[in-house]
Amino acid sequence: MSLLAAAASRLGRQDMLQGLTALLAALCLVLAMSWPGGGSVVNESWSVVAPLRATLLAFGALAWGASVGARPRRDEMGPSYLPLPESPPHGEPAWRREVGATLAALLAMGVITMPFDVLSHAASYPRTGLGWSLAAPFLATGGYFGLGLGMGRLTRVAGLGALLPLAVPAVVAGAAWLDVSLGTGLASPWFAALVPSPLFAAAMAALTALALWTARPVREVAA
Amino acid sequence: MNPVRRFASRLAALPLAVALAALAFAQAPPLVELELGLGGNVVVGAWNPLRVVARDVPLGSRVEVTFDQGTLRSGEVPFRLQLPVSGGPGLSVVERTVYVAPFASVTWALVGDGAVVASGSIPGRGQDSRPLDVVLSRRSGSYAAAFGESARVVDVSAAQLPLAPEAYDGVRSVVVDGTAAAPRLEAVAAAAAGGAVVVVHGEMPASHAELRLLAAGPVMPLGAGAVLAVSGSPGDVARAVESFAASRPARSELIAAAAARPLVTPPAPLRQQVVVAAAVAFSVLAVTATRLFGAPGLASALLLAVLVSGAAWLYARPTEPEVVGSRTLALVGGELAHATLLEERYTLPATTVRVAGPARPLDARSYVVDEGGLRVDLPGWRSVVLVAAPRVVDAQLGFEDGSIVNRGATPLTDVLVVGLGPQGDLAPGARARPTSGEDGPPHEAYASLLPLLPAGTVVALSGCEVGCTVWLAPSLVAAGDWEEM
Repeated sequence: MSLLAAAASRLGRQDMLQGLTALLAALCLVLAMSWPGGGSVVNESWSVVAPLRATLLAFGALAWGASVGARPRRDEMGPSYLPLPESPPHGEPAWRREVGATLAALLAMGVITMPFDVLSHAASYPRTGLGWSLAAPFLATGGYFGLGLGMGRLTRVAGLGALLPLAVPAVVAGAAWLDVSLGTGLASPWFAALVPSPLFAAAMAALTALALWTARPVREVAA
Repeated sequence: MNPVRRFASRLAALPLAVALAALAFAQAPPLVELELGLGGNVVVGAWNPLRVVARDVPLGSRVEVTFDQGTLRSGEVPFRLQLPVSGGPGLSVVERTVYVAPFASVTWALVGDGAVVASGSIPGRGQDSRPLDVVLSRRSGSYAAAFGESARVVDVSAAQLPLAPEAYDGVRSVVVDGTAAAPRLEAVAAAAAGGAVVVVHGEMPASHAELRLLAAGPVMPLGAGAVLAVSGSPGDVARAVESFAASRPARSELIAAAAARPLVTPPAPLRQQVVVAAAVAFSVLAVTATRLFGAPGLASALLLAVLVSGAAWLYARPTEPEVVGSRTLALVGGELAHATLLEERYTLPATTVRVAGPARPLDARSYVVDEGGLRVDLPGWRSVVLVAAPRVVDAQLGFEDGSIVNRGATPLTDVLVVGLGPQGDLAPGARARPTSGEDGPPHEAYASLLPLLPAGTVVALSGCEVGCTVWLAPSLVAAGDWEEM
């Protein structure tokens, strides 16, 4: 199965399809609210649309990354455990393919929502270049997906899997708090989308590399 | 005298010589002097001469003057002036004309070798917006009495008169009666062209003979001002000045009226309904294709997203990041005109607007002026109206032998005489006698100015393809000139 087919298959599942629909609906709503109407000509829609898009993509990447990372190993579930094809056990080749497909589906969501960023950027004419405006959400998606994988695994090992639904929004909020208190654009995709940040790019690139290393294909061991 | 005693007496005089030298050194002028305004008299709301004289300061020094234009409500609104001082042994002189808005305080410092060499301040409590009546006379007291207590009569020497016309922005009159040293002809011409009424009072001695070049008649308009030849008492001088000043529109009011209407039209965005409808349609299509058609559907959605992005960039992007509009207000007097350029900069991205040459923002805001010109920071989708320092140019509009004349190389359009009505256009070199015309809506470039202009004022436009120049010749056409038509 090609990566495109795997991504399409993953994106076609209910959870991601609903996520994509919700993301597009949110962007449509924000675009409608921030686009100038009536006699106004001041267009500052990009300053809302771009950070929101980057943050929602990062939030989704963290959530799906944590979900995949927290998957139990086969030996944790006992010999009678029969995994579903959609949720292969952690560490197995099928799980790695699942990681790759989920990341590809998330990046496809980034491409599909790109016109909102380009449109608002073109009309708002911000000082930040279009290149960074388009790159930052992809960096955030890859980086937060890698962070999610690690976070999911840690909570599974620590036996705190029940806390994942709380941990995901807490991490996104904590990243914003960290950037505000340090005055840097290191962790939060909201602030990073507005101003180019080499620190953010480096951190997200490192986490993306972690995700790609996790998703690397390995030879299947014969049963 | 015994040589030993002579030596002893000289030795005794040595401490006295040292003490005298120390006293002389202690009485040496200060290292740096800063004078703002003509003779130190600042007129707020006007361009004022600034002069810095520094002695033996380090090479490559800089003088930094900070005008805090803020109020209790607005907080600090600084205008920073940063100018290089050549420095080195001897005197270094820096001269500049700066616009002084109402201020809370003015502080200055001369910085050289990384340290403050000298500093000082001017408190804001004594600021005065009344224009100056400058007197070059040994009998300045009699003029001060004639002008009355409400006037600001200042007594300066001829050498103190600046040569730049914009430095006379805050001067109402310059009175010369021939009893003091003669002023330079350039300074007198600059004063008149810059808007002051130059009064040549009484008969001039031989040392002032060249003033006759300017005072050939009783009233010689020159730029925004005029040269008046007045005989009689100082009271007659005061009355002549007040009468002439009252017949002229206030330049600050003209500038405010000219800038009252926007000089630029910002780019119109795409309609909100169109944008929202397109966004919803794209979203539905992308989700449907991904859900129903698997990998081909996803590939189509991705391709569609790229195409829609390209189209959005092409249609929604304004062509230029900055829109600039300008208008020049030129007050005609004789063969010269006093031109003030108004320029509105509307920027889409946040930026720093830079303008070469002396200029100021129309409204109170923070800005910096250095040797490169003016710098003002603007957030995105905001504009600033900049007012350049007035300059003297050749007048394109004139009045000769009862006819309005176009002396320039470009057409004068929308010519109008206040009180008479529109006069039509004037080709280069053409002339036309004023006639009563049908009233119609005036051109928008000068419509807001008309209520401020006295009857008989001729208004005309030129160069509107780039930025209109509004030529104003106050009271150029006398009432008799059109009643005879």
